[in-house]
Amino acid sequence: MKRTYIVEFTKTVIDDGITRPVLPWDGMGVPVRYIAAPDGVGGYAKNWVLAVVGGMKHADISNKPGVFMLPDMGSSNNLGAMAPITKAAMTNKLKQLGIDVNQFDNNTDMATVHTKIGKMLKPDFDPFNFDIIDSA
Amino acid sequence: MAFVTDTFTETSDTAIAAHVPDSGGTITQHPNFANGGTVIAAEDRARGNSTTASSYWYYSATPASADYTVEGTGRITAADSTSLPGIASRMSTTATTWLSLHISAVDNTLFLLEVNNGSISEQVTYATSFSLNTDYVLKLEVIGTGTNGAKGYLNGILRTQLTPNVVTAAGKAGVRLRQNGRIDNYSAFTEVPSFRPAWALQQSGIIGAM
Repeated sequence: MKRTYIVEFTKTVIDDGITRPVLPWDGMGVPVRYIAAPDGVGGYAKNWVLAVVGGMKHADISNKPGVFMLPDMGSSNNLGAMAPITKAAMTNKLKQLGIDVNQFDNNTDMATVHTKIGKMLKPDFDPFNFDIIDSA
Repeated sequence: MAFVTDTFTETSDTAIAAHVPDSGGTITQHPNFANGGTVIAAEDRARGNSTTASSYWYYSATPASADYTVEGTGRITAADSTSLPGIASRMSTTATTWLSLHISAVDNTLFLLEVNNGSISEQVTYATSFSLNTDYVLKLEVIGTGTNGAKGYLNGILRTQLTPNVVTAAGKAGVRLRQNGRIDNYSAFTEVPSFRPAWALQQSGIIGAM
């Protein structure tokens, strides 16, 4: 089972000469793919990552501080069809990250939202191929 | 066509800095990861000298383009963080910038990373377990800058992929080592295109307009 998360991090660690964000799945042995925004001088330009996570520990992960589970992409999963409480939570999170939510309306689908989020971190982000092999 | 091959063959234990690869010029330690390494004569494999810090090494041969594959046989001799053998491509010779694929027994994980000036732009992991003193063939194929253009294979099976559009220069091919990790049978080469011309079709092959 895979889920897509926005994860804000408050700490980085220099791990064998490479600065990496401290993320909630560290040590949990789950397959993860994440993108981040290096600042070019050994740190990060943004304090959050976009990640797709596999495995079966989503209940543990989603309860950690700074973690927001994004609604899945899907052709019928546009913002107008989304439960108001879910849409409000996502909108608040995107605003908090500095994403212009005025570019979205009820006809915007989640793939577009995922794309806009991913492109803030990495050029040419393609949500349809942002995938992992789930487990061994 | 291979532009680097290295079987790490020596008649006595030799510092990697003094080791001459089978082809591909010389091998040089990355200045940001100068923790030493040794070719073990009894094994004909390379290892790092430190248990706590990796050393990275690059081959002097310059790839014809940024699209090439590196491959090596990794082996772990201790089930802790003293191992972490890996391979790398598009390596900067001065900055901590590259694509790398390595295995970790302590994490039970295969790691594929795009590292830009010391921080991670993309990381992909594959959860699996590793046995001690067992060979694992690592292959990192990088083509272009497009979606999932970097592919990490473990024992011939695609396990990880990322989009290599931050680290785009050809750089150099290289390896990553710690004291209880090993790399052997290393090569860097340009992939033969997967297109098969008409003369290579077998009896079930069909080509041309119908």
